[in-house]
Amino acid sequence: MIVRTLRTAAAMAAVISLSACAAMEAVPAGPYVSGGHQITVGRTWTDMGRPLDASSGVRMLSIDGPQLNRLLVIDGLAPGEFIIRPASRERPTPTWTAGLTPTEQVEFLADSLAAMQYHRIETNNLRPVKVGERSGLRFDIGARTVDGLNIYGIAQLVGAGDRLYILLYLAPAEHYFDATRAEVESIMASARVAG
Amino acid sequence: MTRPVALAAACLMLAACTTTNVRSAAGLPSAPQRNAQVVIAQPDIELSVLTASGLLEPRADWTTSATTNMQAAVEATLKDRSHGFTVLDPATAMEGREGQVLRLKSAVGASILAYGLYGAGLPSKTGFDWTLGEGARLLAVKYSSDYALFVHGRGSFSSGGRVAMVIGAAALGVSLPMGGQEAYASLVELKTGKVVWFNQAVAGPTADMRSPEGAKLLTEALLKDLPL
Repeated sequence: MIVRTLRTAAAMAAVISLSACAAMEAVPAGPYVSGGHQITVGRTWTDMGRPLDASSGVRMLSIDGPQLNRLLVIDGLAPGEFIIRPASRERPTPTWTAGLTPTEQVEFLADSLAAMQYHRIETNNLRPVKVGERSGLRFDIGARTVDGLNIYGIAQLVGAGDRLYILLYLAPAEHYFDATRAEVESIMASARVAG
Repeated sequence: MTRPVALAAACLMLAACTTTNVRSAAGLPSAPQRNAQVVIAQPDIELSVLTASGLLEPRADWTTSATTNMQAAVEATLKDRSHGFTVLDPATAMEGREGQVLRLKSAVGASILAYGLYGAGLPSKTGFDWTLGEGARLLAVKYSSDYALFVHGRGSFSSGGRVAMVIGAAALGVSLPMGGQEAYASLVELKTGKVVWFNQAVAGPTADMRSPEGAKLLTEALLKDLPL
């Protein structure tokens, strides 16, 4: 029997690297909890599990698949922890350090996006938000994939003790970001963190 | 015929055939209007040699031949169906918003392959519902077309060293990939951006894109249920 393998283009390879080991599960409208991070979604999402190249506290939700929209729900990062697992010891990825200024927190997130193979990363419209009783940050993101597809995003960061809770939404600038922006902003406004 | 022999024969017959997996959007009319104009993107093909160590080394000469052959086969298919068509060359259309729409098409195609063809799919999606969004209207205006047909293919062929390794591994009871070819085609309704039809074909050994005859066979299987 000839064994056929699925040889993929770079785009498919990215899909696979973003896929999680766990089976996909429906996240119906309502509360969704990941560790100490709780959000409320307004429609059905798919819980894709933990991306293979992410740390254990990262869950990925999507509606149309990670290349078209993805919401990373990141449980409280402890000092020294990363969002994206380094591919090798010689190429470390950014790690969280407690006590960073807002600008430095944005840089940490932007550097993590670079570790996720995004290019031309820009951050803007940094604004304070309330996450429950806590003060957090929200900002907009522009980036490009290795294939040249423009990506827009929104990130929300809130600290609790020395831990950092993150919501990161990314989608193609063409159609998909605007299609779910209102839902994502509602999700971010609903967030609550433990601690 | 004994059962093991029958089973082996069935396996060989299946391996010799090009297999397809077609999906269509719900509510699609049985066929678009007779004089629908179609813009065909130049097929996005890449062929490689699969080395003994399992690496893929792209072969520009194979890729060029396969692209030319598949383009000719796709155009011949549409001519046979009495539809007017124009050809879009992605190499010259990748700037600005048009380039973004074409790149988005690749991302949508990859997502359909990953989540829209097999198994239960994404629980967050109902039915076959994929879109390029409103940007597709750009293509409708620029190319005076109602639909866009995209063909994408990838394939690899084992090097001599790879073949020797496969044979050696098989003797030890270990199965290694030998390479293969697959293609997918998508038809997009440009006024809505909706992907109205999608098909994936895994090529049998006679459907080698590097030859005109093989590309014709693969294209026939790939586009056989195309609703045009």
